[in-house]
Amino acid sequence: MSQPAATKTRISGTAPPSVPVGKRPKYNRRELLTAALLLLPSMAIFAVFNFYPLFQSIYLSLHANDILGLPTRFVGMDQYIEFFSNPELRRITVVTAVFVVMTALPSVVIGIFLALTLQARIRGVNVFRTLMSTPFGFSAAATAVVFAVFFNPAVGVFNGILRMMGMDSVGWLTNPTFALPSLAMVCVWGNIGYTLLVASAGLQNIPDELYEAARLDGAGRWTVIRQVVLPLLTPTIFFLIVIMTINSLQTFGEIHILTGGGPNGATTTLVYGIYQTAFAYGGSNYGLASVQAVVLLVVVTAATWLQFRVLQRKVFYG
Amino acid sequence: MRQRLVAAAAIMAALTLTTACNTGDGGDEGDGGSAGDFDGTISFWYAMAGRNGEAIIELVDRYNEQNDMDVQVEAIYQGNYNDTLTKLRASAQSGDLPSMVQVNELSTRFMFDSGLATPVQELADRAGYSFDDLNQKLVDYYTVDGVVQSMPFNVSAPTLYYNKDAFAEAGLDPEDPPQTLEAIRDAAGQLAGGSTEHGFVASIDGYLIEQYLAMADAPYCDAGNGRDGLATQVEWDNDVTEYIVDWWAGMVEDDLAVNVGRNNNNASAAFQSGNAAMMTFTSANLRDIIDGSDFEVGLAPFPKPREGDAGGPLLGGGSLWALAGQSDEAKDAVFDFMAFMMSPESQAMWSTQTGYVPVNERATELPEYTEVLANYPDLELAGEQLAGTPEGANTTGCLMGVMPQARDRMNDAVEAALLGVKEPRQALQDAAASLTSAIEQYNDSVGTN
Repeated sequence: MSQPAATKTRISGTAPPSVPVGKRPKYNRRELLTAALLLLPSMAIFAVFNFYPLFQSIYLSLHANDILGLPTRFVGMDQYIEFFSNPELRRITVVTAVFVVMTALPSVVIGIFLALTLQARIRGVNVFRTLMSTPFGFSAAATAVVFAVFFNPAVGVFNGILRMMGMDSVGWLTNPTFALPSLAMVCVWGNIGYTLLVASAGLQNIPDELYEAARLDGAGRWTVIRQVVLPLLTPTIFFLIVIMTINSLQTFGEIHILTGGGPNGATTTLVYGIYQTAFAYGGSNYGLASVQAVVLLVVVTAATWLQFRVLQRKVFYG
Repeated sequence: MRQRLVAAAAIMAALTLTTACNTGDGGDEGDGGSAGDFDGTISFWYAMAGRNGEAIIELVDRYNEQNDMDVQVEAIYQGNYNDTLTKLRASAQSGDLPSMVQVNELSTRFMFDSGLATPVQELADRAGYSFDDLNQKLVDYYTVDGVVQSMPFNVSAPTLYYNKDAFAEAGLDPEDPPQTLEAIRDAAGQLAGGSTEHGFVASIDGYLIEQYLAMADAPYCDAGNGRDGLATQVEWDNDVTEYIVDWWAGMVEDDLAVNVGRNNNNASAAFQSGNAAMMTFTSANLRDIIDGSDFEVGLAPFPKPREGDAGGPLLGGGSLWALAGQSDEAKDAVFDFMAFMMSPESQAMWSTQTGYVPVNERATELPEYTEVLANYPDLELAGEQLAGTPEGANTTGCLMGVMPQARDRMNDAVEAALLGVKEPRQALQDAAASLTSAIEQYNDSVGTN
């Protein structure tokens, strides 16, 4: 949703954290007051745009609502039970997990690969770097609309190419087997602009002396990448994996425009399920949608926490 | 240190000021919108894109230039019918409603139950307006409990579009289009693989099933199609519905029809590009489809499911609703604009630019209508089809608050059948069952209102 803003604030996270200090220094009251006052504006914004909706979601998830979506009466955990006993839940969970893997991993791998190739010291490499990071500048909606034309079963470019090669048309978005990979492809295309930029920035931080030293020691190109570049890039890789996981868990625009969660639910992820329950076809079941939103929050938090626990141990901050 | 403290205090002061402003704005919500102070501007949310959207804007421009009440209409495109309704619900929560909104036929019951609108009858009575020039049958559709609820501005009928060139090449008579599902299947068998890759195309759209059931004179939901009381379930678990879905799935399985998913535009693109030779589609885009095809387009009445079915097509499209909570002055302005949209001149222009039925019957006498009709004789077909629909609950469509969700569930059922995931009967049973709780919830919340 507010993805650009969110990632921008998180970019600072690539910087290595300061060395932890054993004892907490004492602040005097005056300093604390200043700190509180300076924090107040951002806390106020957080309160209005993050904390208030969060608590409102929890409130709504415990209440039934009328046809306009206004809460009517307290129903306790009923809607949570309804959600967890829904036979569709299993499929939604699997779809979400597969989608995250199919989107986040290629986004990171391709982004780093492109960043490495664009390290080459050739004329005009900056032109390519700029061109290749342009997808970052496109909104999800614009990207999806263009790809929708490419995927069109009758007049689309992709089927046109297949037909020219004498092959059968493919139901890119209408065949349940192809729909999720097609969707993931669009998202990966949109993501690599960003992963490429961040990976390039990470590569710039590796001092030239290290390359030189490695080369003097007789290391080949592949050894340099494996033994020097990738280990030094781990903070960036870690950051990208976390961001891309969260990003793909929250993907909405592409799904909404390209498949609407179909065919036959093959692309209905957790986030899209929230939309369908709350808004699609005059559903207005804000209670059940809020349950899903709370579950999504828990899932994203858990995934992020897990990644910090498992991956951060393997990160080398240099 | 001192400086920092001052800066922080300044930021805080600025923040308090802005929040104070915000609460000031929020305070207005209590007194029911902007009743009392009408500033001469009407906000009108509409749900038409492409050529039909342009025609709406043209009409609004004409009104803004012509009207002698010094009223300006601000037309705002809000996406398709579903998007518009979603936004309407959201703005109902914040109390910031438009003056007027275009809503599809499906959501009539919801609009009525929600109490969001002022019945058009009430505005018409204030203005001394008579509905006599309008097609009575169409006005009746939007009449609930004897009161006209909304203005039947855009009325369409489902139609069979076919490629006359492809028909001729396949050895079929271009002047004798198929009239039943079986006949479509036979024709598709001859057409597929000829000059067009596929014989038939239709997007997965529950709208078409609603229409087939009306053609078969079969109910869609219980309680007399929702007209004798609140419907409690849909009636999809029967032979005729199964027959229709089974026919469709068979067409796709045998490669006679192409499955283009749920997007209507994909169906019209397949037809117009000569990828499929026949298509079931609303009449609303007739001009667009004829003008955008480089072959001769034929139009035929919507097919009957089986030989001998004696029903008729339902009206489709949308109507204009006036939102509640407006001052008398604003109501009069809204109605003045509505009356303009229903005038013979406006309806003649609207109908000939789109393919919608001219709801004002005097529109068909105007030269701007008859001249276009000479070039596009099929413009009359939609009106003729609706006029031929026999009276009865089954041919007036199911009146149910959750119709939009029902259509979506029907889409699920058809899609599952087309993809071969489920047998048609099973798919219909599952979809009907999954809808029951939504109907209960709706009836429950309407009851407690």
